[in-house]
Amino acid sequence: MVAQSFESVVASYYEPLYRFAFSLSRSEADACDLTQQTFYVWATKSHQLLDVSKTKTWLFTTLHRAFLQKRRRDCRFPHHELSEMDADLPFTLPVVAVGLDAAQALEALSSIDEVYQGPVALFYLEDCSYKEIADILDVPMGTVKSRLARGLAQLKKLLTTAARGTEGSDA
Amino acid sequence: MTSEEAKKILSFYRPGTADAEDPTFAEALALAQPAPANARWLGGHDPDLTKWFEEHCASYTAVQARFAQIPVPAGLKEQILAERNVSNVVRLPLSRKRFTGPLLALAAAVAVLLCALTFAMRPAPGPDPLTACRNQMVRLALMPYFMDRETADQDQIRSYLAQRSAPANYVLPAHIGAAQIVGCGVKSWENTPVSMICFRSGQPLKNGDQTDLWLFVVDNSTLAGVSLPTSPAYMKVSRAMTATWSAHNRTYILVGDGDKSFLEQYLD
Repeated sequence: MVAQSFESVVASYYEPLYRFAFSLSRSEADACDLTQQTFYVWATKSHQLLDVSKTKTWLFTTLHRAFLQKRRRDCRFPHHELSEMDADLPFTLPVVAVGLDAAQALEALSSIDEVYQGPVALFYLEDCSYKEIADILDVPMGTVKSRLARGLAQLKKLLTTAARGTEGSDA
Repeated sequence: MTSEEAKKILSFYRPGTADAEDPTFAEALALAQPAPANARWLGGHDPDLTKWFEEHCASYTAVQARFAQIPVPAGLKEQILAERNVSNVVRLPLSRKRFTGPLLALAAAVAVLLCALTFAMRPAPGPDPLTACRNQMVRLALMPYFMDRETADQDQIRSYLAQRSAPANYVLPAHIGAAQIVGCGVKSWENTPVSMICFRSGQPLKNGDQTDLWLFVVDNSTLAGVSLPTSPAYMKVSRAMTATWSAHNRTYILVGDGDKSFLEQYLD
């Protein structure tokens, strides 16, 4: 048997989980609640997890589901089927993003369509493989990439606009 | 592979991560590398692709750094650790392979060692059960939930709760009538049913919320050995205010999406 203490799991993951929660909810209180709830579920149900290597994915999946449940309570989550990648790939974010601060980056993330926020947040926030991102979001790998493509395209547009605003105010 | 095809693949490439070892990116990565100075005449490398890739990496790194700057509230880790109230050690099977023969003795020795280690590394004493219970009730109120029964009929609510072995003989706060009762649910604490009665204060609800005032009634048997307040004790938990008191073998936790005065108006 391998013992994985609650403390070690918390120490390893509470910060990335909180950042993921915050990037989704944009609220410190909600992010704390989501993070705490995730570890509460972990404390009560983690014995069901047989493969220790899945701990990270399990935690992020649990948090993401809790967020979606909360969001569904607030409003019906618009469902998008994205079976194909955009034809306008490739995309890349503007170098002007270098001049932005965290608040501006988060503001931009919150402005993209909700269905893209999870994939984009995981793309930036945590060293998750694409397989792990697909598992966390419970969608096929192709859907992850199509949502990322569209989400990053929206983010690019928003960051470009924000950067221009910054440049304008600096002038 | 053309440069455009390489760009499509590398759009998903994240520098500084395990993507560097992902075979999906290998060919495109090789194509995007600058050609060695003494081999440029050989062709095969696209300077535009190289430049595009450098910009992609710079942009990714810049935005990723911004997200990494999100500050984590001080004390969050300690709060999480303080609230655990169940088994702290998660045990996961190493293998389904059976030990046989001489390995059995070794396994027994390892088991003894693990027991000793588990004892030596046992977690710190558990959190205050009342604090943990109160915090969990707040999360239940603020997190997603559905009322099991939506009704303003108190008799129906008591009947519903009683049928599910949740505390039904509770005493409502003196002035709770100022709020509109809208329904109830049965939650759980320490594997014991907890009654949740939901109210609407009348103040504007936040987007999507159905209620903004909750009364949880917990059987005191789940809080054995805890010093319970007999008059309302107020405490801010997350964005909610709570008032906790105990009477007639029941602990009441009133949770409101507001400040202390918001709750005081409903209490004696």
